[in-house]
Amino acid sequence: MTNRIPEQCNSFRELLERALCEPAAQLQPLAWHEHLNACSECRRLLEEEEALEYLLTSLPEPRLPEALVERVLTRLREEHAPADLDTLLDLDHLNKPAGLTSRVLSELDLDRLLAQVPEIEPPAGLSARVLAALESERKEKTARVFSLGRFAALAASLLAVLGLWALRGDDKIEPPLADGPADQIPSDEMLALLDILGEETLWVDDAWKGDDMIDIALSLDEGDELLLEYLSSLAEEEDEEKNG
Amino acid sequence: MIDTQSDQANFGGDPGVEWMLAYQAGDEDAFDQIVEEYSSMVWSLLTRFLGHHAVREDLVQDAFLRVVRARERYQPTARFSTWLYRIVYNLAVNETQRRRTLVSLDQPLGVADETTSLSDLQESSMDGPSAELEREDVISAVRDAIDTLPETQRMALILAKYHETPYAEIAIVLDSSEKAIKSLVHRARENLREQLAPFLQRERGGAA
Repeated sequence: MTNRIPEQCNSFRELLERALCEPAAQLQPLAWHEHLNACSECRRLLEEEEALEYLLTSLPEPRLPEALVERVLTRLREEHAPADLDTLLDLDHLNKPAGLTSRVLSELDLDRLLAQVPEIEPPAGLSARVLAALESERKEKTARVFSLGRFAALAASLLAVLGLWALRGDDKIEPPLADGPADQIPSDEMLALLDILGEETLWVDDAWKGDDMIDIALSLDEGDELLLEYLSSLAEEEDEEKNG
Repeated sequence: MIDTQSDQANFGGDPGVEWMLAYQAGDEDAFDQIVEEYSSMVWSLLTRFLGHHAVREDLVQDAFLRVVRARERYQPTARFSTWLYRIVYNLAVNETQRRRTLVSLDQPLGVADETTSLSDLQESSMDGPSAELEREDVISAVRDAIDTLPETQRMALILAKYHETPYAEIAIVLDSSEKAIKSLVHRARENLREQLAPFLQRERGGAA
């Protein structure tokens, strides 16, 4: 007898729980009348659940505010209607809930916003004007570089020439690469000068022969006064030797 | 693809699913029907879960905004109401956490609860001064007891009790199992019985 009551208690509590959870399931208290009379615990449980159900159902059903549906639909349509950024920003001046604009802005697709920004066209001829302005700047810098280079080459030449003046030989100088393109062939005087430099210890190096020699010769300014003066002195010496 | 066809067959009779599929196919009026049909349900769920706060209207809008955004990728894998409940639950939990942060920073918890109770009073009907006061007292206590439940217990109880949602669907909403939902509701009722013990005693006494 004592074993049957807990079994019945379990069955009753399962049925009670099911009745509370599933609207379709219904508890038939009359069918459990005998057990409930005998079991004070199950009776207390049933009474508590019934009381709790009563309290829970005492909460009023929330009533949908009038025109809420219309307001929601209107606001959703506003958010999804094509609008430019100015229109969206102007929403701040209307009687909208605080922060609505920022929320709308943050929630709209960024791509759509970006698509509304007009393409920015550069002024006509801007690139040509910029390049022209840069061209003069570049020329000035290039000129400075070249004059520095010319000065350096001249100084190197002079130092070499002064240092080797007394050691100058009498070998006949033949211009290399005489069959090359005319505008790439340095003058005979220039090549002679470089040959002299190449023969001396300061410049002795295979790298200075051949094409390198031509490049160096082409890099020298034949119109330079000091160089011309030196070349003319070489010519005078040669004349004196021939005459003498 | 096969799953989608199967899902559509399973929920084909659900008007919400049909409207959503029509909206997905380009029928803008179908969306209006969704809002008109389900606004009340969303409002009710938010009110019971969050109490009477002004933010509810914004959250109703947010819920349907998410429906709009899900237009392209929507698949009828559950009843439409279940899918919408899940959206509302996520929004409500976010709002609860936001409010919890604000309350902890700005004011003691009791102030927010008081506001809720006063709003409740405004919605209740007039049954006479004495009965009304007693009723207000009970409503306030029940509301407070529900508010103190953990979020999952609260949502499970509200859906089961007030929206008559089967446990299997609540499990989808809360991303849980049916068994876990049964346990959640059971614990929620136990917690309510504890908190509302004086009122239950009174009800039992009145009934006896």
